[in-house]
Amino acid sequence: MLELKNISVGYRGREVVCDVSLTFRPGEITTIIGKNGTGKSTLLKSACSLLSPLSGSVVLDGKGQQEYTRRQWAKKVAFLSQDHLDSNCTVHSLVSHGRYPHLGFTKKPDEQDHLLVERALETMGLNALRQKSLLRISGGERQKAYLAMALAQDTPYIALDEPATYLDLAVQREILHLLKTLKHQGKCIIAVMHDLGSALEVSDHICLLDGGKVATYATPAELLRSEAIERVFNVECTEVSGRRGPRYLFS
Amino acid sequence: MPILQSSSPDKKKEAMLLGLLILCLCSLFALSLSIGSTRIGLKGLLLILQGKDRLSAAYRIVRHIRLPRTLAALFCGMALALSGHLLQKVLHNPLAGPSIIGVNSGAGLFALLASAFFPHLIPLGTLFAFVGALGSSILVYALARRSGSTRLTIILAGVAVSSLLGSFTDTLLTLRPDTQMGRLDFLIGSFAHVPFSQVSQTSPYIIGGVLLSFLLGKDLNILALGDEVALSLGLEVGRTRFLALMLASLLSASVVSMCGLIGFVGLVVPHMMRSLVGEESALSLPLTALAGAIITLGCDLVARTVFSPYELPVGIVLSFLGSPFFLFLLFKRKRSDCHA
Repeated sequence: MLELKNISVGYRGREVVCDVSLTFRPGEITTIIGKNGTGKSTLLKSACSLLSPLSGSVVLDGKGQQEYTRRQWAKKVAFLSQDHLDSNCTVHSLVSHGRYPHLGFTKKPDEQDHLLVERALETMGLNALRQKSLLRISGGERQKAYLAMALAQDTPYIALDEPATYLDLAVQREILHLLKTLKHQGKCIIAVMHDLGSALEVSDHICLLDGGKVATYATPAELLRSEAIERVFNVECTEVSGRRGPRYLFS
Repeated sequence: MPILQSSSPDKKKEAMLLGLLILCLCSLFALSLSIGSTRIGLKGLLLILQGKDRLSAAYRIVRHIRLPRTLAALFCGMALALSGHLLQKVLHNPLAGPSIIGVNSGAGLFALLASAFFPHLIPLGTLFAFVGALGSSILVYALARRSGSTRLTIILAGVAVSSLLGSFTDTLLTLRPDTQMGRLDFLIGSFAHVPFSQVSQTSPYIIGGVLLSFLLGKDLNILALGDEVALSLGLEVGRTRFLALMLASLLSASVVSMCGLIGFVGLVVPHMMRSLVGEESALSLPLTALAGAIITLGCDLVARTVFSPYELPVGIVLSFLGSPFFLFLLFKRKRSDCHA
């Protein structure tokens, strides 16, 4: 279980996220939504130990964040960043880097590492691109490669900062399906999402941030009933039934 | 495993390249010892290297002039190429190099300060140079980070720091023209007057730096993905970056204290190797070190022979090679930025 206890996070002493307490459980998908600039990514980075909170604490499986070494933490929590630097490495190399926290002193991958890298490439449909440079593939393919790297990390907690960025509609659906599969494998998924419809569709819990504070933390059904979406985003949300379950319209 | 099948042609290519570079280096090494105003044949050279024929003039020429010079070129090439590789990875910037971002200038200034004010501490010149190199690399990194670490900012901060430190160096050379460092050799960089004692004093730093750099290879590849990704993969980013900057500074400082301000090897060689074996080859660092040694040895041979009996400082030959290459990279980068 990953717990945020009264954390405030910010940059250079300026608070972006104020006094937030949340719990992320294994086998659940929690999405963080909110308007631009409300601190969604900041909150996620803090939950992943990439940003130290100004106050409060982050507790992972009963132990405080400070009790973990950077590598021990990376064996438990994978993070997919929203931004990536230009790197000229191949797709296969990038995905192999997901095994970095698990490598020993010699940093040589073993059979298990190779297997997990192959599985991640297969899952993301990247086998044909494995030897291509990241600079020679599309933005969507690159995003899939980084996601495959997070999968190869094989951690019980996976945090994704806008995982569907750069992806076309079909691949976005694939990603949502993947999140559900990972959840059924018992993994804890935490995702920042901009697409409210997708968030409502896949989440077990949704954290709606407004002005750096939690406006609502609820199940999708509770969130819809609370009309918090209308209040924060100034849109009207209607649930309609689709062939594969409920869908959401915003106007 | 499919992974092994797909990567084996690359491994074969890298192993072939490694063999080729070693062969090339050995040939240049022998050539560097035999070519000069007195030509020494291979047979004579082998006798001299075995310690025989000690009373001959050829022995003294090789032992006291050509061998230190050749070893200095070899060590300097390795050190500068690896220093450039480390800086480019740490700063996420393919235009970075010890002579471009001010690392060499910092090392030069401090080595000169030691020479001018503490001549009795000349044997510790490498350590003085190291302090200067590390200080300037950290200063450039901090300046670039503070003002937004774009590729151009790092280069501009480096050029500014380099220029400032260069001014101090020039002032010092003007006010204290009697320093123990040869003025021209120091400013342009030359292997011509490096004594054996200097090589044996400095080479342990270079060998240590080279070996430690090899250990950092995988960590540098992770660091090249960006701080956020590297942290999420469990890399101690701050520690790795500091260690890499320290090694880059140590390697550059060793070169500066031995042969002066040699430029461009650290920029050109990592690029050449990246284009040959890719960004993340396991042999990338050893290949870069070998190629660096080959380039400096080759350029030194050119510097010694092209206007024979006169000699050019090797720094001039390297600048002829490196300056157009730097411009090429700059325009290539600008073009790709425009396309992006």
